[in-house]
Amino acid sequence: MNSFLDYSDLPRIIVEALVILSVGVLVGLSLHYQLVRDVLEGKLTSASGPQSALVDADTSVYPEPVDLQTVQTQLAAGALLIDARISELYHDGHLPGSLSLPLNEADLQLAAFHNAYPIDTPLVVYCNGYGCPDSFDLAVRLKKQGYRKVMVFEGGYPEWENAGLPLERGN
Amino acid sequence: MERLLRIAYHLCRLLLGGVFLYAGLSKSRDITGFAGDIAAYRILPYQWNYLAAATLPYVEFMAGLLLLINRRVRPAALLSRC
Repeated sequence: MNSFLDYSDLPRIIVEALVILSVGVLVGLSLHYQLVRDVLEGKLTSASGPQSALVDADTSVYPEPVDLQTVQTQLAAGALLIDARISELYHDGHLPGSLSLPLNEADLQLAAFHNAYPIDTPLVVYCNGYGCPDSFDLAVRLKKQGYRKVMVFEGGYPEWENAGLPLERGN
Repeated sequence: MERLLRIAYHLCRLLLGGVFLYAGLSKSRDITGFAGDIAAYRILPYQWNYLAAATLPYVEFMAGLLLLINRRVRPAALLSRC
């Protein structure tokens, strides 16, 4: 039983743990090489990938997480803001010019949205900040619809509000 | 007494291995969602959340597998504590 508590070979244990860690990392990077390539090239949108990636619309296509500064730059360049929160929260307050597309209503609204906005429209999706998965989930669905440039504003409504930026109310 | 401790050791090893194997598998099936979870901690640059999400599940999976098959248990247990 004493062997369980013997730490005399701690250096070897640490080295072996590092080897296991390295193998795990290599396996992950190998299985997600497309993602790794996009990150290394500084772009995560499918617009950077081959056209077939858009058609396949599989899990190898990822939305791009962006910060507040990038959101403002993208909005100035004509990106469309999408609010993934429920409509009641949108009514209480939302980012100026944003469009309400609640994740729980996406099944009903995505077809109409797709008809209204061409797939090369840059989209910025947000919800209730860090820890709110709705913007990510909606962004993935928009990717699968074929939208080429879909970004996720992770700070979302709280970060925008805390920055003292203007908000809109109502529909 | 030693027999009891040995049984407890193997039970803990199997339990921990199973948990890590399951955690690794479930996360590897939803890399985007896991990236969002990591992003919530705000400890990595934005795009690096994806790299962490693409690799950590496989480290968990390997650690869990080694614990289950009773090979390299100590390094695997050390990794599982990190």
